[in-house]
Amino acid sequence: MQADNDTDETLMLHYRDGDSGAFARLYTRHKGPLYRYLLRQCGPVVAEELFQEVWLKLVAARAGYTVQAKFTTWLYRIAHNRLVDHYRASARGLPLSYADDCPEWAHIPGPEGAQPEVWDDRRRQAERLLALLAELPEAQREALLLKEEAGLSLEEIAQATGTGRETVKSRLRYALARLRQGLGGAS
Amino acid sequence: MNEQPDALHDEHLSALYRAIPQVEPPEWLDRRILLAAKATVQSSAPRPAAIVPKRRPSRWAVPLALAATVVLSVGVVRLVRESGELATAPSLESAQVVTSSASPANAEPSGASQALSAEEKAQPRAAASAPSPSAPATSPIISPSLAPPAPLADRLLPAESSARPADAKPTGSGQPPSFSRQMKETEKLDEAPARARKERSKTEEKQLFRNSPERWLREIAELRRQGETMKAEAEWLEFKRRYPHYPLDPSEADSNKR
Repeated sequence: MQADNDTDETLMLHYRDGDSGAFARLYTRHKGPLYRYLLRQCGPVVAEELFQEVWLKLVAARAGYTVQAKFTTWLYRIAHNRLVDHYRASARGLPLSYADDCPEWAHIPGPEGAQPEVWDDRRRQAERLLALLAELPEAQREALLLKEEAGLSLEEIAQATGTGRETVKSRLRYALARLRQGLGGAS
Repeated sequence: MNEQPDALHDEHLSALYRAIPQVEPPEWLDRRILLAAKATVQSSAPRPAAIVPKRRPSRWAVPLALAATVVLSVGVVRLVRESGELATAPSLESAQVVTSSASPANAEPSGASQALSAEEKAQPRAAASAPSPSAPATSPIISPSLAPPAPLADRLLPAESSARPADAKPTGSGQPPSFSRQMKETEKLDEAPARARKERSKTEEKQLFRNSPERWLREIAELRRQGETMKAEAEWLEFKRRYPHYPLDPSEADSNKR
C-alpha cells in the first residue's frame, strides 16, 4: 500500500523536525481513505470541513509528536472525535448506534424489497453496496469503513474509536450480515 | 476469540467495496492543507540573524526610557525647588530692581544693600545671597565647578541667573515666559508694602508734629505762607480742638483768626 519505505511514524517525525515534504508524502498516502471515511458518513460538505479540521489538528500537534501508537490509529482517532463532535452538535445528537449495547443491533431491518434485485454487473453491485452502507447504523458503518478504508485491525479500530475490542467485533459482524443480506448473499 | 475469521471478513464484500470509485478530496483542499502544513514549519523555524538587530531597540527601549525619566524627574525637581526658593525671598529681587531704577549711575552693589529696609537686612539668607562686586553670585546648592553650562543653567536655574548683577532686570529676554510672569507677580507683591510704608511714614510725621503744639503752630504758619489757606485753617481748627487752653502768642492768634 505504501509506495516508499518510510513508515508513517518516521514521516511524521521528519515533519516534526521541519521537513514539510514528509508531511506531503503522509498526506498523499492517507488523504483518500480519510476523505472517503468521512464522506460516506456525513456527505460532501461536512466531510470537506471535517477533513480539513483533522489535518489541521494534526499539523498543530506536530511539535509535540512522539511515536506512541500507529500513525493511522492516531489519525483516525482524531477523525472519529471530530465526527462524534459533529454528531453531537447536530440536532439529531449522537446516534444511538454508538452505545456499546445498542439494542437495535439485534433487530437489523432488512433492505427494502424482500427479494433483492439481481445485480448483473459489478459496478451496479458496488453502487448497491454504497447504498446499503449508508443505511447501516453509524457505529457499524464507521467500524467497517475503518477496516476497509484505513486497513485497521480490530484492536486499532477499538483504539481509534475509543471502544472495546468486543464491541468492534459485534459492530463489524452485524454490518457484514446486513450488507450480505442486502446484496442477496448468504449471511 | 471463538469468532471464525470469515464472520468478520468477507472477501467478496471487500472486493466489491474496492470496486467503488475512489473519491479523492478536491484539489483546493489539498493545496490549503499542504500550504498550512508548510507555513507552520516556516513560522516555527529559528529566525535568521539578520532579524536580531531589529529587536535591539525594543530590548534597550525600557532602560533608555527609565534613564530619560530619571533625568527629566531630577531636572523638574530641581526646577521646582529653585522656584520655591525664589518665592520665599521676593524682597531681595525687588530691592535690587528698585535700586537700579532709582539710581542708575550708582549701580554699585553696596548701594543696593543700602536700599534694603531694616527688616530686609535682618534676613541673613537674603543678605548672604546678595551680589558682591568682587565675585559673581553663586548658588549655595550648586557650586561653580558642578554648575552646568550657561544656557542650560539659565533654563534650569532661573533664580541663579536673576541673582547675577548683569542679569538684574526682572524680565530678561533669556528668561522663560513663566519665569517672567512669576517675577512680575513678585514685583506687584512688593509694591503694595512699599506704598503702605510711604503712607505710614507721612502719617507718622504728621502725628509727630501734632504731638508738639509749637511745631504744629509752625507748620500752620508755614502752610499760610505757602498760600494753602484751607489746609492751614483745617489744621488750626484741629489744633484748637486738641489744645483748647494752649496760651497763644497774640500775633499768632490774630493771624490764625484771619
